[in-house]
Amino acid sequence: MSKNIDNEEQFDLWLSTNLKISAHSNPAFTRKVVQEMERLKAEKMLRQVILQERLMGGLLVLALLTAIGLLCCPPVLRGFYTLLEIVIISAIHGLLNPSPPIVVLTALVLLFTVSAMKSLWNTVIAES
Amino acid sequence: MGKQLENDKHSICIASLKAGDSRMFTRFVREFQDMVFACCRMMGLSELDTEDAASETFLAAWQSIGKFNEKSKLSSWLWSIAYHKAVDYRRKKSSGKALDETIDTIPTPQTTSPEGLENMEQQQRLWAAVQQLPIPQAAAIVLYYRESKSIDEIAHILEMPENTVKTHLHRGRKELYNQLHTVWENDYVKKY
Repeated sequence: MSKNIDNEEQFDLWLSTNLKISAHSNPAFTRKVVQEMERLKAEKMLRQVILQERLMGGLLVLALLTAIGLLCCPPVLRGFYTLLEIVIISAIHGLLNPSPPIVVLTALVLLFTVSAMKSLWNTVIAES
Repeated sequence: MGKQLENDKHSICIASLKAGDSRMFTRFVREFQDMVFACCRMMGLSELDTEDAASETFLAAWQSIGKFNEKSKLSSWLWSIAYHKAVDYRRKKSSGKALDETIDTIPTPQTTSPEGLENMEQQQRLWAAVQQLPIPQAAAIVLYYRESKSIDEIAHILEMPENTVKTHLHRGRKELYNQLHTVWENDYVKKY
């Protein structure tokens, strides 16, 4: 009985030892898998960038259409012209009597307009 | 202490993998490739299919590491992915290929000494016998004897009750003993 148990243990040990040989043979395997992973990672990033650009483009188009739509309503159009009038008069007044806050504000508005135009241009290029 | 250190190491590895660290992925592949190859070869896949299945296993692991909840060990989780990939490959190939044709894919360690050659022959015979076992038995045997996994870990990986795992282990071991007892006895007598 005890000899049988001993034999079983020895056989188990033999199984463990002989199964634990290296099963891997190709040394270039790691490099290949890592390269494939990098490719998938790059593809994923590219997909994300494309999606972001499409989303931005869509939002811009939607904003423009909404703005044009709103301008078609007479009360909004009247309000817009009144606002434009105030802004233009204030700008002319500001330019004729320059003071530091007005210069800073004008510079900020200019910067914002230029960056918005650039972003719109990039989106149009990407879409086309 | 050692186990705690290993757990910490794996936690760092998982966190880095989740953050998309390529260097950690390289280390991860190096550390576990032997285990993944053993899993695929146990299924009797050809050398080419083994490499493809192993490669797909690592890429699938990388893509789904975010879903890994750390309830199981990293090795068990990876083994489970490799096992399912290998089963898929085997299923794809089983229509036109007999298992006997794939036995030439048994791992062959590099050695030149007479003793080493003899050991190599023994190992090849053992792997050939393992490949002939039904899949659940072969998986249970490799996980238990090669990867030193506990019964409950094997049950978790193979998604079966612990008693079923014990039955597969018992049957697989018995079958291996019937096929290989002469090889084992010769080796045992020579050593003792």
